[in-house]
Amino acid sequence: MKTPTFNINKGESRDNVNGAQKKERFLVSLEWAPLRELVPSWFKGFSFSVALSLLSGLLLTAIVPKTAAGETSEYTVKAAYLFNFTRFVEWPKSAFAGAASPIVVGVLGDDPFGGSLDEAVSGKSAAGHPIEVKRLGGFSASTSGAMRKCQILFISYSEKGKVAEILAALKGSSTLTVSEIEKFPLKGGIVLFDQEGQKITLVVNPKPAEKAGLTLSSKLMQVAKVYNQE
Amino acid sequence: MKKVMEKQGILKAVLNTVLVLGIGFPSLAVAKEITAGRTQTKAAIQVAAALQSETETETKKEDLTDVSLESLMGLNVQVVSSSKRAESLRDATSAIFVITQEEIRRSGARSIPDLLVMVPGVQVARQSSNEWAISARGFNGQYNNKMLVLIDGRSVYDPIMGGVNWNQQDVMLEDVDHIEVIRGPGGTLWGANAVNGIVNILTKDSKITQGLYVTAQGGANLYAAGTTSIYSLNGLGAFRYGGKLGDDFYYRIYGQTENRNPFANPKADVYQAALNNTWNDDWYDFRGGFRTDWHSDEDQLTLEGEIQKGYFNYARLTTSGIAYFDANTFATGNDLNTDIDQNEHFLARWTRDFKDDSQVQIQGYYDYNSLTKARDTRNNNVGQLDFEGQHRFHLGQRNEITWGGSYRKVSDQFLNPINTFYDPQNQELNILGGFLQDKLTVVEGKLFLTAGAKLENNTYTGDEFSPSARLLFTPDNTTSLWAAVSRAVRIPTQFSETSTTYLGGIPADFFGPGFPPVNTYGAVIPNGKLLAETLVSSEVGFRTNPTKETSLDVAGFNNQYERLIAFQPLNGTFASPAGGVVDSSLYAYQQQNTGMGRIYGVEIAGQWTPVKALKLNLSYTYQDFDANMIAASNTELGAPPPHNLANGRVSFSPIPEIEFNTAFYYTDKTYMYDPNSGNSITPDYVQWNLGATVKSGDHLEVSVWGLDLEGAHTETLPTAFISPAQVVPSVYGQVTVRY
Repeated sequence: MKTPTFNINKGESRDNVNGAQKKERFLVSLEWAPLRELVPSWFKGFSFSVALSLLSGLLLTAIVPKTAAGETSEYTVKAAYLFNFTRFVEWPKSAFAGAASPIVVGVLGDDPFGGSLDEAVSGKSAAGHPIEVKRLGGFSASTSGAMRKCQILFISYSEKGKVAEILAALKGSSTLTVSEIEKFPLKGGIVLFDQEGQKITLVVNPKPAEKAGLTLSSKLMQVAKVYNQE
Repeated sequence: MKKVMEKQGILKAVLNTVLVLGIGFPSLAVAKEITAGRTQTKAAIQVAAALQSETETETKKEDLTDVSLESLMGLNVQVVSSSKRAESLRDATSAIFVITQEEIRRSGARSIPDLLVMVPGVQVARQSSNEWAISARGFNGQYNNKMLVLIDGRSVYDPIMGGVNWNQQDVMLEDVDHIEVIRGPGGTLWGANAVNGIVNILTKDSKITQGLYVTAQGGANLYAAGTTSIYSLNGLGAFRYGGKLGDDFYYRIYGQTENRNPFANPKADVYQAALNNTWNDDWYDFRGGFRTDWHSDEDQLTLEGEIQKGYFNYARLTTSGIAYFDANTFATGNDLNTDIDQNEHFLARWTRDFKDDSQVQIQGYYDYNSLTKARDTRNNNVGQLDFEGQHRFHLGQRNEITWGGSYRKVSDQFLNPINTFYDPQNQELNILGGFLQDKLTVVEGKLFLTAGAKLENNTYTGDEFSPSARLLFTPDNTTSLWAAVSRAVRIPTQFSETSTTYLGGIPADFFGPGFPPVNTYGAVIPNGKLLAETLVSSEVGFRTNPTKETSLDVAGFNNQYERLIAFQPLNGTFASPAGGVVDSSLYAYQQQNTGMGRIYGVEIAGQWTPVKALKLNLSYTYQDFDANMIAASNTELGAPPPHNLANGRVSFSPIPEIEFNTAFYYTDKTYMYDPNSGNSITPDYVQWNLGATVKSGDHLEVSVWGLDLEGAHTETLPTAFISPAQVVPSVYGQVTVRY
């Protein structure tokens, strides 16, 4: 009822109420027959609402043609980055059992990718190495062996409290560590997936990469923000 | 060509939204026809079509692996990781529920308090269109003083009345990163008044709110037939712009303006005709502010500030027996008023992370709130200055220590009293505290013990101690079990310690010249000897996500309260700050530590995502209380919890551009056992919401919602002090543009 006036005081407000008929009002009549009259009990009300929304959704699916292209999902982009790393990172020979042994992309903790990581790398190879995805589950003492055999290890947000332990367990291996956990480079990780606006950006810490015997291409160093602390 | 196809898609989407809305409003004949069964026979075919379409969209996903690194960096993505972050709660040792940005969108809620209804075990009762009674685990009432609410680390708990003025906390929903709601005590970290729950509202880092965001919302309340004229339209407009001030230095500025219509009048009264059957509780609010974030490799510095002003109309029915009056003029007050509030705050927070996983955080803020509220005091001005610091570090292999200190100074003025006198008029309240907590790894990766305590000194009750011990067992990666015992305190409010509230009386010379002067009132008088209310809470919890598609969270609690503060009748006469005497032969009450009681219950929340396009959330809460609780219960204390609460939410997104959401929230009967104003019952009720959202690329989003479609109902207890309005169904549409 109140058009936004900035000087409402007590008196004015009382006048308004007591002389309510003076107020400017929209006289659109929107009357509503409560649904209760159609659906007697609350339980029916609920199942009715669920059924309605499901039905309407299904109806829609049947009618709308599948033309519209979806918005790029965050993890499709992150999966594409992981695939790109196989091209822009060079591992030491010792990191592979043989010339044709695979590049293993490990996911530690909850897998946020859905199928998009498999889609990004399946059937592809880099420098003669086929690429494989391995899901390692959450970090524990027993996963560290499998972790060390990964060429790329994506550390999921579910492992937030264990970053120090995970990086300690990887010491001496040639694993490119990648994560979206805040301050990952500060804690000794190599690649951080960061976010600016709606864009996914990279922060790279070259020191631990060097220690792991990895060579990061200049291309990667150009596009990423370089973390330079010890 | 692609553009043309997109356009066709949008057109069809809009067309179908219209169609779907038709179904959503079953008063339309077409909807009745559809539900009559014609569509149901086709359901099987449509299920098949839906499943097929899902696989189609899966395989049609764009391949980004040939895209260059630079282009990947330039892509605008739909960010979901912030929700995932908030959901990684497996290690929490309390009954925590997180409302993510995704859930905000799915709820259709238009302001923060309306969102909280989805949290298991939380009761959200709308007293009027601008007053909410929100509680967890009991004590539901507008001034529920046992729940602490923080916005970006700033307490919005009201030191005068206790509780939270929810109408002033209308944070722009788009800026919310997530909301953590903890049921149960959190005094060890948060200190006093974190008794039954903590609501922690966190806004987004300005680094991720870059670019322009504009939204417009318009809607109407749907009143019952017979309402003679209608305040039909309400709306909201908001904008935000985020940019960069330098390397790693980001900002955003924002503004929001909003008006909301009144609810309906539940019963006939003297004002009904003047108000055309509506309640006089419409409101208007506007705010504007900024946030900046500077990041370095180790640091984050956040500054934020906001100014806000709100006008909240308030209607009170004059119920039998108690007429409010103006102690200055001795005229019976007009009960219809407008509350006007004005808030300014500024906050600075610095966080430094260290290589060894330790962290230091220092925060300070100033908050000024001025409230013109004709019912209690004409004008309250409250300034709060708060400093907090905390340090977390690892000690050896097994200990993670967190310790810190805090200081808060509240200075306030109570001006132009009408029927509530604060004595003295200018007051100060100081709260100084320190805490220490250790998380001990008992068995590596499996068993953890967190123990700690906070010691706090406040002006009213002196030293208060809030210890807790929490045990966490994680047998595998999908399951966790926890148990906790903790103590928490609620310190008395300035209202109970220092105010005299007049409930009626006979002023001097009331009977005219020649009669002897009478100057006698009925009143609630202050009690400067109150002690803090205490809670000892035992909790157990179980959390599991056996498959990627399912999760279950169960929490049980047993809360034992002592020294609960409640109104008690007094005998005799007492001095009155306005002159004259307060006489118990009229009314004389005081708040005293007379109550005690036990509340116990179990909260269950489950989630199931059978297919990618469909998400189901269900929650059920059972609560009970003992006879002491009934004896202790009154208006000041709040109501004991309803026995049953349940909610169900369904989200269906057949294609990424379109989303349907529906939710129901069931609240069982709520009983108020009030020895002073009589027992009362709020009947059980259901809230049912239904909405559709259509997105077009990154830039445009349109949604349409129907709220409270189940019908008009009352949600709070009618007492001598509260006359609840009737919530009415409403509809709104919203258009959002992002660039």
